[in-house]
Amino acid sequence: MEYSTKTHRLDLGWRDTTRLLIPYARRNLVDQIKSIWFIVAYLIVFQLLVLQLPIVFSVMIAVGIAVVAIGLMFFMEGLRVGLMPLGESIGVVLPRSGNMALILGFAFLLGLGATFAEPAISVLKSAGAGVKPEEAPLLYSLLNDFSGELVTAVGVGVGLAVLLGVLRFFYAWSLKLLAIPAVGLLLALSFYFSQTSLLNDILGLAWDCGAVTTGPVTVPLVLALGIGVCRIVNSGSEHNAGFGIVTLASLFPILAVLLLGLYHYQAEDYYGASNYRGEMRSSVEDSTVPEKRALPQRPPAAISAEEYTRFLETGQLAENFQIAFNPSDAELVDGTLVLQQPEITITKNSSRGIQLFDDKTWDKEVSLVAKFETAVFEAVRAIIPLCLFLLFVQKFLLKQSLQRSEEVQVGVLFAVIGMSLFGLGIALGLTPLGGQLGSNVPASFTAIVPWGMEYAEGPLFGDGHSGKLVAILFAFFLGYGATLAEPALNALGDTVEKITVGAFRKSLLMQCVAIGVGFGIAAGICKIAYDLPLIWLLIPPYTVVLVLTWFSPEDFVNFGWDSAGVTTGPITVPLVLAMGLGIGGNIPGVSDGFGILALASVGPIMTVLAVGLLTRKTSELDSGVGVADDVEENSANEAVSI
Amino acid sequence: MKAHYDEALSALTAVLPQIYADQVISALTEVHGSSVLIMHARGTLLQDKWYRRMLPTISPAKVMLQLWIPSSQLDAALAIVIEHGKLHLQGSGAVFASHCDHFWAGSAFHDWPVDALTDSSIENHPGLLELKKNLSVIYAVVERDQTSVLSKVAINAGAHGPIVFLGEGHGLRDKLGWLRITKQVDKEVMMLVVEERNAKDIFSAIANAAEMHLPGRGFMFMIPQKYGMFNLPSLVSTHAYDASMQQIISAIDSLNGHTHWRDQSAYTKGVKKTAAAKRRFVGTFRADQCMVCAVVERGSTQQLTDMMLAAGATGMQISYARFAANEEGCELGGAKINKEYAIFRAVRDPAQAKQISDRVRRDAEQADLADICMYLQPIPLVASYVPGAHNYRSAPLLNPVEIPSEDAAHLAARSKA
Repeated sequence: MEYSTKTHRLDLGWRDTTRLLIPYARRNLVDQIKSIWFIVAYLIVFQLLVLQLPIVFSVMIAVGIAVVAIGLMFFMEGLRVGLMPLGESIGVVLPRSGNMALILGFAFLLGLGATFAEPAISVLKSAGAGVKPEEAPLLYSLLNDFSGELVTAVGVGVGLAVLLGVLRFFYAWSLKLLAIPAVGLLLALSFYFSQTSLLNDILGLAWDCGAVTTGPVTVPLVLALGIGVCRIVNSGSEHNAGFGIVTLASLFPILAVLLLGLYHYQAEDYYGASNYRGEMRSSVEDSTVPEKRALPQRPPAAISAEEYTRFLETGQLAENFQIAFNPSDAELVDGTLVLQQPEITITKNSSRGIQLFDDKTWDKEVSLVAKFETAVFEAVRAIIPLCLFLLFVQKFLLKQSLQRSEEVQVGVLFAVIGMSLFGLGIALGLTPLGGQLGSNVPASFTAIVPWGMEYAEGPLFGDGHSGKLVAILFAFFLGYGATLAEPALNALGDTVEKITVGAFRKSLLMQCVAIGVGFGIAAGICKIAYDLPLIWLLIPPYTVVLVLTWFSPEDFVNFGWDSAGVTTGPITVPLVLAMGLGIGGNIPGVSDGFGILALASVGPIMTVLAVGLLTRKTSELDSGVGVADDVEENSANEAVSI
Repeated sequence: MKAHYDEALSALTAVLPQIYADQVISALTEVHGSSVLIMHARGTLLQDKWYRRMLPTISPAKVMLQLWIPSSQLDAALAIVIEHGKLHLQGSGAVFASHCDHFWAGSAFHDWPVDALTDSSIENHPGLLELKKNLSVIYAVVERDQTSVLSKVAINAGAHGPIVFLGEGHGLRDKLGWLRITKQVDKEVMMLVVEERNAKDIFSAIANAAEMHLPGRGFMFMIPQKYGMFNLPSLVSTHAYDASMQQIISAIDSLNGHTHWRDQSAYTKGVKKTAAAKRRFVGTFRADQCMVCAVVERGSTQQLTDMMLAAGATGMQISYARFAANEEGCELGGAKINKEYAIFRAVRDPAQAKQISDRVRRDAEQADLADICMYLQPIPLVASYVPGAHNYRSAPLLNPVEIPSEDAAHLAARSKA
């Protein structure tokens, strides 16, 4: 090209380059610190002040959190500069090809490929770590024997969802008309499942699949793709701004997993059933949840010689001493109880003392190199094949060159760097922090051995409802804070703000969604703490959501449902699962942490739609739509009278 | 160049709420050979009660229509917009038109037929009676987080609630190679329709608040319009509230039939300007500039950006719009496949603007860039940081102009009366 940018590119020295890069890096880093400070500060404050436990592995966690911030900085820039423009540009080119089969085939493959690139199966496995084969055989089999099929089913579900989501743009189908029947069907199926105990076990898994499948790379990419398509496709509906694919991509996998479960239920080839082909394992060595055993109590502290002399002199004891009284022989002599040679032991209660940081500052078992390798591997696997697929389609099937390819390359590179660092930081920082806190939270209502400590603590707030209430409140703010830091939600917020030309502020969306997720996770912890059946936590909120959806304006339906699919990402999931499993492990009869993520998805739909209904009136009035008829009559009358 | 572009062309812009915009678009595209560019924008919404400010605000969605039309058909097009857009209603929107100089278009650019619209008689279109002359449109290209503050400033200075749409800022950024990612491309463009008599005050109030004399703060300019009308709200109100001051003012306007009663110059004692404030505007404002406006198929955005930069434009603002036309487009599934256009705006002094226009035209012909048009519009006032001045606080710069103080003249006139 004659007018390439190279012909008049400025020649910048290293000094000017750093002058450009430093403020840029600082601005982005500050943005990311703003998004994660709440969750980090909250976790630390809760651990130190409410649970009064020291932080174990403090240095490792601090390093991890710093790495998360830097990773997020790169990743978000990578999304903005690389992945999203790539998705949008292919979205723009696709409809122009005029080949519907090509478009739909591409959409299906994109959904399928994205699921394999960001497999959520590891997350689901960790959620089902405590599942015992004899208690929930079908669930156990799905997670272990049929995990390949499970991923494929989810992938096909996501593929069909992207296909339908793209098709929807062409025919101007309202998201309401797709989401309401789909959710209705899911609820009916779930209700049917809940009646059979074998099938009931997989409900949590199925609904969580919907929440987990859409990862931080897939969501922005698919979102951008939809926006690109909608820029070009004019179906006559102004509300089709490109959203909705994520919604369908969270609903269809649920259906796919439910159907897969039903198939294996009918085929009777799950663990312990007649056609089971896998190895039966003895349950004793398999069980990962230890039997209830006596918790190690803190040994009494030694009484010092000083305290002993003081006692001899004054006969007074300080407060934290305990007196044990052991009579050896008791006799009833003439109506008086006479004790022979009573023995009184005085022990000093040991107190842990307030300590900010545990002596263990770095987990010796964590190998930095190994963690970094996994993080890089996962980042490359999630990003590179998808990008190559997109580029291949654009170059060879659509025969279009990529605009601003230089920026996109830098962006994709940033995304890979960012996601690697981000994954490393989560493994080093957020997971240990969230893990120790999550497993420590039950200390508020029961006696447990806190994470990384030797002796039992708690119950801190009474073992009844008040302690559980503390745990549930904790869960609310955990969900709130973690959601604000989610990269995919940040990307969605930016996109919504851009598509509505700034009318729907990112901060408004984020706050709505975060509060919704908070409520959802609190409800999920309720479910686990009181061992409530999942179906009775799914049906009422989803019914409310369906009613709200019916009455809400189309754009809010799009934003609300999409944000529900986005919320459960790499930050929320490990934190929430750690807590769910921690609490579940201390409640008899609860073995898995499923269901919390599903509930975390329904919360934001409710809050966003509610805000939509609240604010719709004002916006309508202002734009003159709501009062148009009125005003028209009035002004006509006025015109006559004047 | 196509033959009938010898005839004068006008640029017509309309800002409407979504629902009326759809009606206007369908009415306009019924006209044979017509075309219109559609952009999304947002209105401004300031809550008038403190407790309402607590609630989240969602600004009303607006649609901006842009069309280029032979001046002889302008009245008829305006009539369609006013009629279908119900522009006589309080708070419904705005429409305005201005003249395009040196218009040229590539061979593939969609042209508006000479005889598409003929009926523009006042009898058939009473809405045309309400058109005002002496309107100016102020554009301010600023960073995205600036618009909410500037909207308040504009409303306090007496304007209606501004319309905001998204734009990209290009120029220096495109010369940086991959480092360009360090410069945010997204900007917001704030648009205000004001009467010419208020234009300078509002303009300088915004320029002051936006600190346009500092580098990197943005860019604003004013385009006088041939005629138009605006009926834009700035506050939310319902029947339950008292009438807003704006409603009362517009009621008095229509009773009086003029707006002279609104002249407050006799009552204001003149704005005190400190020496420093005065000095910093020297060089910030430039008069008698010229806007180069180009419209190009979106796929060629980068190509045209490079051409404009090569031709001497230093900075430009780009907004994207959807194209709708009365023609057979290609269809797929149940939907039409849109074309998209990019609208470029760059401001230079008139001689340079003409030179840019000529050079881009030559280059476009060479590079077979056919789906393009370009025209110039005079700009009486521009505010921006002027590069090249090292000490921008004191050095005299290109064509400095003072914002004339009309207070003295008005007071004299008043006292005579």
